Amino acid sequence: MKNKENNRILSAAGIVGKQVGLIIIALILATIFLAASGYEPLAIVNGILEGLTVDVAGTIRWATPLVLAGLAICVTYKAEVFNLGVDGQLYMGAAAATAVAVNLPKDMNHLVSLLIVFLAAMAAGALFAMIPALMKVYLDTNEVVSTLLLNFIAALYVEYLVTGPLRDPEAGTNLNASAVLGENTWLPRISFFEPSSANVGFYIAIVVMIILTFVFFRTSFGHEIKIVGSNPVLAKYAGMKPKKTILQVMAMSGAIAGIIGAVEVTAVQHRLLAGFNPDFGFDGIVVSLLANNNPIGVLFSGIFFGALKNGGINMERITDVPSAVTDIVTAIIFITISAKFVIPKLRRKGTEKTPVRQGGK
Amino acid sequence: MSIAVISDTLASMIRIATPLMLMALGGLLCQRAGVFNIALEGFSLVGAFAAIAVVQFTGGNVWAGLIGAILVGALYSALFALFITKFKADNIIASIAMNMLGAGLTSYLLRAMFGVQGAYSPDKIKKLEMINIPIIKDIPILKCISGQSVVTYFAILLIVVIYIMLFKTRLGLSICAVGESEVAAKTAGIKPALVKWQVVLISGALSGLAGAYLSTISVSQFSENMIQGRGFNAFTALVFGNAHPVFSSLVTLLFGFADAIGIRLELVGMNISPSIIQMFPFLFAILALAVSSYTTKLKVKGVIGHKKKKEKAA
Amino acid sequence: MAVAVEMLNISKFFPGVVANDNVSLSVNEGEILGLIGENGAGKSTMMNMLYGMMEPDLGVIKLFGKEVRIQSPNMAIKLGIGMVHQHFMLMPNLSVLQNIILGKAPTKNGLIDTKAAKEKIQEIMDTYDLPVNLDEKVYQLSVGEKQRVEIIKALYREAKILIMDEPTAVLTPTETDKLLEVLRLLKSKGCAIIFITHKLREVMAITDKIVVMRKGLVTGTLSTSEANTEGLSDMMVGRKVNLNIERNEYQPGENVLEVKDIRALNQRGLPALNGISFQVARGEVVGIAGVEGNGQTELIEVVSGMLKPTSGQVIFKEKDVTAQNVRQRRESGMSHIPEDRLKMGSATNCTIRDNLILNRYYQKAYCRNGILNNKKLHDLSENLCKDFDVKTPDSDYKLGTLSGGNMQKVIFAREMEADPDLLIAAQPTRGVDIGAIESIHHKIIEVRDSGRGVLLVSAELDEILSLSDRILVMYEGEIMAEFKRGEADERTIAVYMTGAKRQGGDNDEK
Repeated sequence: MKNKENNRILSAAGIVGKQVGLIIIALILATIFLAASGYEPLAIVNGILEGLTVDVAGTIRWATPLVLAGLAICVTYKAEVFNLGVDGQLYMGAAAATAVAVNLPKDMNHLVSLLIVFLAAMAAGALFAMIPALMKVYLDTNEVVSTLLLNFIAALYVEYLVTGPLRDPEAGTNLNASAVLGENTWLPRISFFEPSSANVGFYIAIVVMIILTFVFFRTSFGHEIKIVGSNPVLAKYAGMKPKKTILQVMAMSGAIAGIIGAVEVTAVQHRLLAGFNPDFGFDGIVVSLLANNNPIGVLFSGIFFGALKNGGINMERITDVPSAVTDIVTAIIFITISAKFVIPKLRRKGTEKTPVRQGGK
Repeated sequence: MSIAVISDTLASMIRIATPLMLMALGGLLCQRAGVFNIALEGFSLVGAFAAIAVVQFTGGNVWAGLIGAILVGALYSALFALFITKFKADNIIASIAMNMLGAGLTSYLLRAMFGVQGAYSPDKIKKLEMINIPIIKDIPILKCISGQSVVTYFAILLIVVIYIMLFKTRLGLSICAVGESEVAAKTAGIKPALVKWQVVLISGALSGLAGAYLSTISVSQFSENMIQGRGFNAFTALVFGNAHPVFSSLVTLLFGFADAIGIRLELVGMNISPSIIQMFPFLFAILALAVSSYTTKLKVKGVIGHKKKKEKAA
Repeated sequence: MAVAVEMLNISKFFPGVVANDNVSLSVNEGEILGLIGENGAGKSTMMNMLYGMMEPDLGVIKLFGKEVRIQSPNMAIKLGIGMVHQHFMLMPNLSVLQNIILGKAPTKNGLIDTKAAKEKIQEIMDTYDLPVNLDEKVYQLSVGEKQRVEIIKALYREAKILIMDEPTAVLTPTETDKLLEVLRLLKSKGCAIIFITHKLREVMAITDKIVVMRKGLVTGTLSTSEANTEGLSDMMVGRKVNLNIERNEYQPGENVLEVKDIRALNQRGLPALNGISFQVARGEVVGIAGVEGNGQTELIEVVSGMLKPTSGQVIFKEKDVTAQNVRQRRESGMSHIPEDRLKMGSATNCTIRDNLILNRYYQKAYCRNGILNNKKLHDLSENLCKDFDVKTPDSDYKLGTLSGGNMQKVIFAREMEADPDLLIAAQPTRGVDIGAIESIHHKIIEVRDSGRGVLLVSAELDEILSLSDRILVMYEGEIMAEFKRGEADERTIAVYMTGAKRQGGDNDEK
């Protein structure tokens, strides 16, 4: 038994070690890149270190949407569904949050109004996620393509809202935005980190993470997600309803995406802005993959990418290194994760651990 | 609508469809070979940037820009090919990573090479002459075909070339075989990895050209994220067109038409928000996707299409 | 005649397993070698090395006396080796012609020269009596035709050495006879043939010499004229196997399952079941014999609730369950061992426990308000592993780490733990070793003896004959005949399996 525990810890450590290795490779490549184009080579590494030490606030600000996006991705990924539409769903969530918030009475109780705003955002995100989900279930439409297309529709829809129906009449001609929301719908920022926009959304992300962990590992629904994800035919044979499970996980994913939209609107911008979303959804895929689709891991990888993003922004402000280099780092991590590198030594070890193939033990 | 307006709308349909067609023609080869390539978006973004960079450094030579974009597009796609063949990377994830890397690289290089953010126009650019086709240019409506750029005519020629290659040559047969069953193709002596390399490089080159068309012919500048989902639309078009060169190209024309109509409405001064108009091709794509997946489903279920023959035991 | 193939002292190691240990074999031109052995004996590994799918770790391969290293199928083809795989290597949506010329198409001005290709293929078809319509898509072909395409494909590549991997497994007896004729013709033209099978009758009928393998070793090399089936089967199995299992006297109780006039469509929307009716009583095994693809799969899906019939009724324990879903049927006492344990029966990248608790995870005793009682589920799966002798340190290992036989035990354990009144067992012994076959057969008889019903579907006639109390023969979605235990032998049943005859029907020739 002891041995088994040890094995498990070793294999977990192996996974974490591998992921950390990926990050280091990506950072080295980025550093070479910076050096080659004549910038300060260590800029990106310094930026991250700063984000994890001096400027924790900025890291938390960016980690919040990234952790949530990672969670939104890992819910569906467990069921082998690719929701690449988190970006669209969060736009819809933000739109719904804004539309509700500007119409709430200004003297309404703070908590109640926030609750209403967030529920509206979650509902909108979930509903928008139902379009590709229903198409997948009833028409066998590949959700990868449909969600990608719907992202553009949602982004354009928000653009339409802030240039039309929801436009702030007092805004300047160059600013496409809604009116500023009433303060009773503002999600509080974390006072410790003032004046940064690090906000209570981070706590929400942690709560969502805990809920998902519980759902995945301790509930019958979690078991169904796992089986549907690894073999839908088995799920059907065992009397589960794979189609229903797919709709459920997509709804959950969309709702989480909606929360991101609501957090960005109510805590960061306090208004709806066209194109406010720097592709959190795509980053969420890397966040989730780097964490092996484990919700607890998503928290840590989300914080890492938060530090990366924040580091990039700080770096651009202080030095003249373009912040786009962080996108390059992310993309490198992304593509290396997708690869199945065969490391012969590790392989042999792996097979030793598998139980006897033939004969007794 | 007057005949002139119709002709104008059709001409802009063809202009808009040209890059989509190029991307779809490359993408459908990948699709046939079983490579799920939604990296067309990233390939063409890199191509668009490369074209502008080459134009800048050659003192405004668009021809050089186009060729540069083709080469850089192919080079960039080689990374994708490497990962999906050598490292057995998941096609979807690798595609998205390529799109992300394309966006990051171009915006980084925009700063690093030209010191600007957002968009860059080269100092000098000698725009290509549009080609007028005699006789056709004087026929009403049909004249929409005339007065297009050389890239458009190349794309149209390419439909035929790809058609022949796919259905009449060894390479085409190998592509289809690999897409159907890699193991089976292997036992017939074909190297699936090699075939995949070929189709990905072709799609990279064509997407690069598509990007160059957007940055040097449609407009004269590179701007961040300037592909705006055209790669995904092209992918949808090839899905809807059943990965058939002729049908897929026709579908890109439909997409172009949806876009052109929107622009026309805007010109006419109809009170529709430009954001809504920009949605048209995407709404159309979603619809196309739904229809094509539904018909595929019916086909599999045998509701429509072929009958299975069963041989009686002799 | 000259030696065509020599594989000398070949060894191949996989992590933790010796697939081939110092194996040698040889075939001459114009000779047929039978390579026989149980599943997992190492026959396929040997042939995969000859066909360049993998390389041997030790040993030498010689073709026509010359030592060669075969690194890819492409090289094998160039060296004159052709292989007809057990699972056909054909592209269903391409035409027959395209499948044949793939990778070796004649060209004219860079384009494929269809006319030249057709002429060449026509010649092969005429020479070896292998007619196929070249313009048809492969998915439209019958199994026998597909096999013909595979043979033509090999001959088109000018194969002088032909490997046939379990070619008769999917054929009807008539098709088998036809195939054997073709092989004889090929032999007479100087082709060297390696014929892999575990059907001893065919080995005796067609081969010139035989190599027997067991657990990666050669246990016998002999010429066919000196061989007899009993001796061969001893060499294959390594010990006397008792497949005659003691069973209680046949005393059927009330009907546990009644199927009435079922009609259903297959996945492609074509009729698969055309009015099937039968009963299964408590205390009996009803065996369904038939060539695969004659509606057995759909029948099981209809009974278990995975496929809705277009008409007819399924009555289970005197209740009409036609409208009930899978879970309702399972809960009222129906268990099902699926025909494809990887595709349908298990999730290999989940743990053994995840696989074992499928019938239980949602039930009150193990799950309150949707929250799992992990302790109880853990105990349940540990006990099942112990009771059913699943060889694993504990149930937290991934199912995919188990061997085929152990995986089947996991599925068996799960399905038996539900304490079923009816056990549906589809191809229960496919791909497991002989020891596991014995134990699975014992389990099935145990189920029967304890007063439950068993519906057994198997492509192995031996299995049907040795286990069933009653045998139904299926052909093209209909039941052609019914026999009591001992009433019919393999030969009689085979006639009905091909649809050549129907009991009491209009096809009856007598």
